[in-house]
Amino acid sequence: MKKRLQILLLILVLASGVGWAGSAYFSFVSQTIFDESTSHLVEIFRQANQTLYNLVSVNWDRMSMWTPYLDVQPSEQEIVAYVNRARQKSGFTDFFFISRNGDYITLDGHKGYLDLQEQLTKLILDKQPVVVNSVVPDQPEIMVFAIPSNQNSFRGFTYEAIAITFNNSDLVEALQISAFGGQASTYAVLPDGRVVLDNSSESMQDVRNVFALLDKAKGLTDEKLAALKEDFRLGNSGEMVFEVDGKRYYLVYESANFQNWMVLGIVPTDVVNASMNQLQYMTTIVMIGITTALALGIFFIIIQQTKQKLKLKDNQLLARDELFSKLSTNVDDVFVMVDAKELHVEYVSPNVEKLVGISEQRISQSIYEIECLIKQDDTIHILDQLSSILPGEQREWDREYVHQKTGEVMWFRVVVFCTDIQGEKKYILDLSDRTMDKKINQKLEEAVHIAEHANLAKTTFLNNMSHDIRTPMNAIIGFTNIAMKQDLKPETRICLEKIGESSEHLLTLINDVLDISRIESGNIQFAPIPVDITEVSDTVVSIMHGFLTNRNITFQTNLAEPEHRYVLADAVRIREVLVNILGNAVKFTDDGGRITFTADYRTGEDDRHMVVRYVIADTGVGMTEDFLEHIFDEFSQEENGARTHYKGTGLGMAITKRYVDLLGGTISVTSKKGEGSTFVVELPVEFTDKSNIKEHNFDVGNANLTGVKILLAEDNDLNAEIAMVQLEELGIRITRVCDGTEVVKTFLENPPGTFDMIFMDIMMPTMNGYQATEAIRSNPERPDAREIPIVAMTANAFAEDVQASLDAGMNGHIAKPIVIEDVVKSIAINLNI
Amino acid sequence: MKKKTTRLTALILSVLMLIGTLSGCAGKKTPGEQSKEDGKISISFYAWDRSMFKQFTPWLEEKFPEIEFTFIQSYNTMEYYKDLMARGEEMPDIITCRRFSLNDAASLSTYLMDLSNTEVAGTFYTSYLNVNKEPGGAIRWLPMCAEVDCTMANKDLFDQYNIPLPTNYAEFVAAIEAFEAVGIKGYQTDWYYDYSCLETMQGCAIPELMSLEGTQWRRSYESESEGNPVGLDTVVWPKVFEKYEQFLKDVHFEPGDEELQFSKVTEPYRNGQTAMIRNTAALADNITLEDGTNSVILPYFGETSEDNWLLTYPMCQLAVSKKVEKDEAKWKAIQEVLMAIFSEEGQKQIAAGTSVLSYNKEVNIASSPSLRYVQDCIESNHLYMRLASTEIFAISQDVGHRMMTGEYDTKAAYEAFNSRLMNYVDPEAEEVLFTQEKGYSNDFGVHGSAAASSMMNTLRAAYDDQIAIGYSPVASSSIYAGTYTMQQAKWILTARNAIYRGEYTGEEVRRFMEWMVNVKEDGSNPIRHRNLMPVTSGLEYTVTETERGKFRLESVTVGGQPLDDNGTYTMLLVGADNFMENESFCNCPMPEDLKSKRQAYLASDFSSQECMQEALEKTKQFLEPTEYVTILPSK
Repeated sequence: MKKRLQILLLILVLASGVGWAGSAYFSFVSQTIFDESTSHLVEIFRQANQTLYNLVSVNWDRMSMWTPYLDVQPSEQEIVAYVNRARQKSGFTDFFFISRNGDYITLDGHKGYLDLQEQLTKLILDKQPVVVNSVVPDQPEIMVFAIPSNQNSFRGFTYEAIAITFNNSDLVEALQISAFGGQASTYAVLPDGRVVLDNSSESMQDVRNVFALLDKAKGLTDEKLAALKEDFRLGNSGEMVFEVDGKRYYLVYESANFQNWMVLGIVPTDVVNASMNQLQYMTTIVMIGITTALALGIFFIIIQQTKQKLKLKDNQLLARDELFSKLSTNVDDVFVMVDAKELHVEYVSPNVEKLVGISEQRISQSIYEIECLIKQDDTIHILDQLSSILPGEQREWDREYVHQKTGEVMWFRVVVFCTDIQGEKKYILDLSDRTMDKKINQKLEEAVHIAEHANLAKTTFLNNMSHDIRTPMNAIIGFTNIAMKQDLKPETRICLEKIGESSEHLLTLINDVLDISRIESGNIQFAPIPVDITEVSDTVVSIMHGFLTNRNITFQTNLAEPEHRYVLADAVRIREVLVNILGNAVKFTDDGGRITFTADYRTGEDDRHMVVRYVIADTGVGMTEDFLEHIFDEFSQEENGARTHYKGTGLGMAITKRYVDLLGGTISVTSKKGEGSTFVVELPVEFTDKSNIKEHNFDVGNANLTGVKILLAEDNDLNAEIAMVQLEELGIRITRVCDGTEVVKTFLENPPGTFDMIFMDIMMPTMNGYQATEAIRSNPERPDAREIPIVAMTANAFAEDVQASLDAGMNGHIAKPIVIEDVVKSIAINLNI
Repeated sequence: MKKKTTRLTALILSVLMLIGTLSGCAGKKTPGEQSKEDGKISISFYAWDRSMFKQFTPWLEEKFPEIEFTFIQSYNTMEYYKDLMARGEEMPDIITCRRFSLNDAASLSTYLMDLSNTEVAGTFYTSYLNVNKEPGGAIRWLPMCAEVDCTMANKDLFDQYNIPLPTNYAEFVAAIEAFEAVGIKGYQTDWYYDYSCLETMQGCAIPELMSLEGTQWRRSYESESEGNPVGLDTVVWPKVFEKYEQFLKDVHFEPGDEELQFSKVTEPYRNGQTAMIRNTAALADNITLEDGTNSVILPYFGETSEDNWLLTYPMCQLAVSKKVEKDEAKWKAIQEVLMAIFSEEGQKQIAAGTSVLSYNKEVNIASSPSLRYVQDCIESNHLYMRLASTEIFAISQDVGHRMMTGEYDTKAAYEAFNSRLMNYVDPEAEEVLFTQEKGYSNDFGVHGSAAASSMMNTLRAAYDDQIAIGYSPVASSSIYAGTYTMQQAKWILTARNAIYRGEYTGEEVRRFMEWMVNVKEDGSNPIRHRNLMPVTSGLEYTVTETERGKFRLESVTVGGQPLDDNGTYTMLLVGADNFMENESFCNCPMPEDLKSKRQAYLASDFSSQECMQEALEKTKQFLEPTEYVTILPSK
């Protein structure tokens, strides 16, 4: 396209160049001819003008010679004879003696008035010779040459000037030009163009005003005409060419040098330029020949180039056509192009019959044939929507079609493009067969459904397992604790202690197994809340002190003070991570060893974040390099009897790693067998304001719960007993009910103040704990029903279980097996003791 | 300033009212619009006098069938056109006027084309056309052939009483004496008119006026510029008044003669009761032709026959609107029309067989018999062209009349004339008589001209006659809303026509209408041009245009009711028999019985102008027009 434009431009430049050169040459030749011709014409014409002027001046000269003669007052006869002789020489028509008032008397005594107009004043008062064009009735127009004289008398007529007259026609002879074969016209005109003397050729008859003639001239602009008029007014000379009735003429003009007259000559140009025109004609023919040959050559080259390009273009088009044909035949898309005005089908891809079962011919005849593909009648017709699509836009629909030959139900994605092709609006419809995709998707959806169902079953299983194992564990641990408080034989105490340890181990094992399962199921969520990050370390240190009871291990802490201590963090998980690692450190460090706990902080990814770095180093047994690679694997424990010796599930570090990952942090470990291990945990946290931190400062150590009245809903008798024994030891009065219905009934049947608090098991017959809580809370007749603290006491120990309890309107959650300190703490908090 | 504001307001009102009037005539088209539809070029031609309608306008229409002419009878003075321009009207394409002087024409120059560069200007004798050349060289007015206006003598009467035709002033006076000795008035003229006063005043002193000083003064006067008026000179003009005083004595001017109007002078002349009157060669030829009275033209006499001069003036001057320059096709057409007008054939049509002299080359109009006794004047070029500015006309009339009544002697006359010339004020043009509230167009449609109808309704209101009929054109221009002086009102009324009032039967009214409308059996046509149809008031008529310019009367109603042939109606007639009846004009003689009856109803010395004056005193308005005519196309 660009190249084509360049060629076109080149041709244009060439053509312009040739045109310009031709024009310049033609102008040059024309100007030369004009100059030569007008110079020749002016020369001839000037001679004629000079002749006229001579005639005038000679007459004045002659008349000047007569006045002295008249002054001597010869007789009338002598004057008549003298003037008649002069007439024979000069050829004038009449001789007048002119009075002061313009009256005249002729030689033969005829009197009259000669209208000299304003020239009379000049003649009589200014004593100047004058030439006047005048008229005497019934006579041809005359030219009066008058000169002042002394006041004399002729035949009693007092005169002050004498004059001779010529008929205008007599003066015309002075303007005769013999050249140009009689085709030259010469005129004397007034400044306004009116013809005074007319010596016109046959072709220029009836010219009465030269400007009226030029007014009809072709191509003579108003400006040129105005300039010419100005020349006439000022008496300037000049020349020009004009064209009248298809014939061109030279016009030359100059002042006649008297009476403001202008003398001008008009000659046909072809007469003046006869030979020069032949030269110009021949030159022009040659020029035209050369230009034509050049133009033809360029034209031929352009045609050839255009042909080649067209051929190339055709080949490309054919190739593209073939490619498109193959594509459209083999793809699962039907392409249809229609014009926007009439929806006339301009193209339909040949695979249409294969894909939808309608012949190409049918679609070509009417695009509305595709409407019969629709399975459901109430589907919005795509063709009705086309008009709303603007050029450059596209719209898509999913359609369920029925193959017109096989009856198979198929799914299509219909895409309509609106485009503008050279000013004509077109719609391109792409009917894309998505039946296979649709089927695959359906299978995938089914698989997902099954997986989700399985996952749900697993979750349910885990929850049930958790509940069902914790319930007996609660009894075992509870009763072991109760038993341990009895006065026991040493052997019995040892047995109970072992039962207690085994129970704790079993509970830990269960918790770890459940935790790892829940993490893998994605049931554990990262729940950052506003905390004072230093409190996490402090809590861990205080737990650590518990671990170290009865151990001779040096525990060293290096706790840095962060610039911002209030952050959003899941303190529970962080604590679990640290306790896990520190627990292991305690576990694998022999007495006499040392454990170092370091907490420091560095800047985070931006000014809203920081990274908390915990380093736990011990001088314990250490690990081999091989084991280090698997330390975070599930159930990984180093051999050599450590499992037996240190009692572990082998899930602790796996859970720790999962938690660190969940918190977005990293954990690394270095260790050397026999020298100890160092764990580094880095966790990113976001800053928050202090105002967001909830204070939980309470001390339950001195809480006196004596007289507190608690309604306990627990269906399991053992669990109920364990709780009642432990709580009653604290002076608490327990009223136990066995299911949800009963707890509601008991609460409502007793007056307000009967119970200070309710412990609610969740999984109970007839009505579970959530329903019972809701029934109590929603009772409109008991205002205290909305106030009384209700705390879940359940083997449902997961975080979502805690949330479910709170959602049901309870005030807290205690997981089984119960830890009595937790129960006391809960009572103290809820009753503000 | 106040006057200017009034005029401006009047102008705006005029334009608005004119637009209103035109828009009110739904379906009516202006001549210009019609011509565009027909593909013809339209030319509006304002003819100064009805005499141009005699032969000239029909000839022009016949010669240029491709041109749609609209001929309007206008006025003899340039003041008329100045008033049109002042009222915001467009200059008509071709205008003519009789009274001309270069200084009068100066203020119209912006509206008129410079014709100096045209072919038609080249057909004139240079010296004649130079008289019309402005100082800047422009020539906007072209003179038509010259009319000779001197002393018309009843040659038969001279012969009858054996009194020789005078050849000089003394013989002229002697002839007057001789006629009066036999009871015949020697010399008389219609002293009432301004032109009579002007021409006799200048005519009796032409040698002085044509002296070197006289011609110098005249050139100075005619090239005066606005604000620098040129008064009378002290050499020539005192002599003019001396000679005029003597002339009045010598022609036996009698007290009261200053009121004499045209018919009061021509009738006695035609009857042989007056031997010589002032008039034109054209009228002399007509009287000779019509009455058989051998009338000849005598010059204004000098002391000797060599001092005799003929007083002449162009029959009229013609100019072309400047707006034509913008319409190339129209300008081309107008150039052809001008060439035709100033050709020998055209000038013969204008002269209509009467004696004129041509200003153009290649035109040879044979001298008529009435000029046979002034051939020596013609041959010796003793042709004086009257000085004819508007102010000179008016002042000549006023000063002349005061000299006639003896109020002024020559010195007082000179001083009064000079004083008036230096501070010329036209009394009729100054005093505002009334304010016209509505304007009416003079465009001629299928229901005639609104302006003409308004004028005729106004004339009828003078005496509350039942019917009024104008059989000459009555409106020379549109009627504009705004203030009117008496002079402006007169310019609306076309010329001065005779008035007849009396009772007629319905049958007579019908015959009148038939006479005025129908083409006669011999082909004579009383209308010729559409806009020359009778204008009626109180009477409506319907015609069919059988051919272009030819009509047939279909029906007549009075006040919307059928004309009752047996009923009687009071009727006001406004018209000029000369045009209708003269053989060389329309050649439609009025039926004898109607004519004799009508003749008895002639309101003597009371023309349409006086009638309008009286009507306007009552109405203070040109009245609402009516649809007085309906023109049906030929089937």
